Amino acid sequence: MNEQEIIAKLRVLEKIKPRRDWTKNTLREITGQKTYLVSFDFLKTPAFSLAMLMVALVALSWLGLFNQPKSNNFETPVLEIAKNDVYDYNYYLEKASQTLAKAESTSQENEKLVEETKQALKKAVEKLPSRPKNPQESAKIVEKVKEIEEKLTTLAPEDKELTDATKELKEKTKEMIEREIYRIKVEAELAMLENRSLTDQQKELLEEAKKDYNNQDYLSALEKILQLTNQ
Amino acid sequence: MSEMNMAKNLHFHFRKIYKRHVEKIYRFIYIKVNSQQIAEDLTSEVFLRLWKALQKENPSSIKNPKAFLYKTARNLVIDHYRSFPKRKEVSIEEVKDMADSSQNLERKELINSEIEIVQKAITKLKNDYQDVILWYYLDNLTIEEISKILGKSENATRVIIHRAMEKLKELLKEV
Repeated sequence: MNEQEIIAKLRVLEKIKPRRDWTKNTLREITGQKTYLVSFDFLKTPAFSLAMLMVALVALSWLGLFNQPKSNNFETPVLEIAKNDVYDYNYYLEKASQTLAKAESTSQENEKLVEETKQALKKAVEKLPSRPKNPQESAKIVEKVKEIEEKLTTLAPEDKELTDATKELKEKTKEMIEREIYRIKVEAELAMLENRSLTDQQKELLEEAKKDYNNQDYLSALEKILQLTNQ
Repeated sequence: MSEMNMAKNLHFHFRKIYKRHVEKIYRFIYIKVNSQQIAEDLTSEVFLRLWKALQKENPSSIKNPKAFLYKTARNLVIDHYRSFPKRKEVSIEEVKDMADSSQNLERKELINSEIEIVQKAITKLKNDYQDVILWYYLDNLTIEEISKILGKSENATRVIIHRAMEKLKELLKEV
């Protein structure tokens, strides 16, 4: 192991951090004042008051625009709510799951329910996040898609459009998960490479990999990193 | 300047130093004592000493707060081991918990294994070597800053860093 590699390894220790609440409490205990890690002096400035006013105006107009019911009322037909599309993928996945469950319970092919499910699946595909907030969110999506796929086998399994819509949702979910894995790998690799001494050619590849990373093309970034480390 | 303004300035000055250095001082101590509880206690003591020093003197009288903090941290760790010579075993689990809990499992495993290897090797180094490795390579202190903390010439400091790195290389081969 050379020096550069050791330095890169040492950087991993940066992950050691104190507890946030301890950091805050200690500062307060030492100075005997109610203190904040961030200065709130800006609260007193006219710029802040103006910004607050703007936020209030935006919030009011937003409330005015979207004051139609937004509850988890899955009885609302998808075709209707699609006109005022303020729902996220969660809603559509749940909607698809619910309509499938309804069809299951009535034990008969219901054209309206099939159509509802198709629309919900299409919308869910459209709205899938390009980057889930955390692994828990990814797991939740995968679980829901699996649930939908299982239910589908009992409702109109021969309906090509419905099967295709489910297949597409499954594919998109798979792509999203794969992209997440690549992203995490690339981030770890880039952090390791940050402190390594590199040849000009390697530096060039590293820059390209960073560019790919910024463009969210993680697979290409990983390929460049692989090329770079094999040189 | 009124008394109130002076107190306000003191708080502001201290908060700034605290925010800038608390994580690094904590990490430095934690790596050396391998205990969250002890690291928290000693880090609090480091900053309390700075706070008291600033209260006694004019805030600008401590020209290099960073050096003050590291020097104090170093001395407190030495005192700690004088009082409790039996060293606590390295708790890798504790370090693992430090990693962000929202991280993906795969990434966590990668980071944890790296932390484990490096931490094991560092704790085998003698104290001075541990210090310079952490200050120079992890906390990015300059040779000049380290030499002031150690009370040695810049050349002597360079030699210590070089030897510490050589020793670390050897240890990492063994791990």
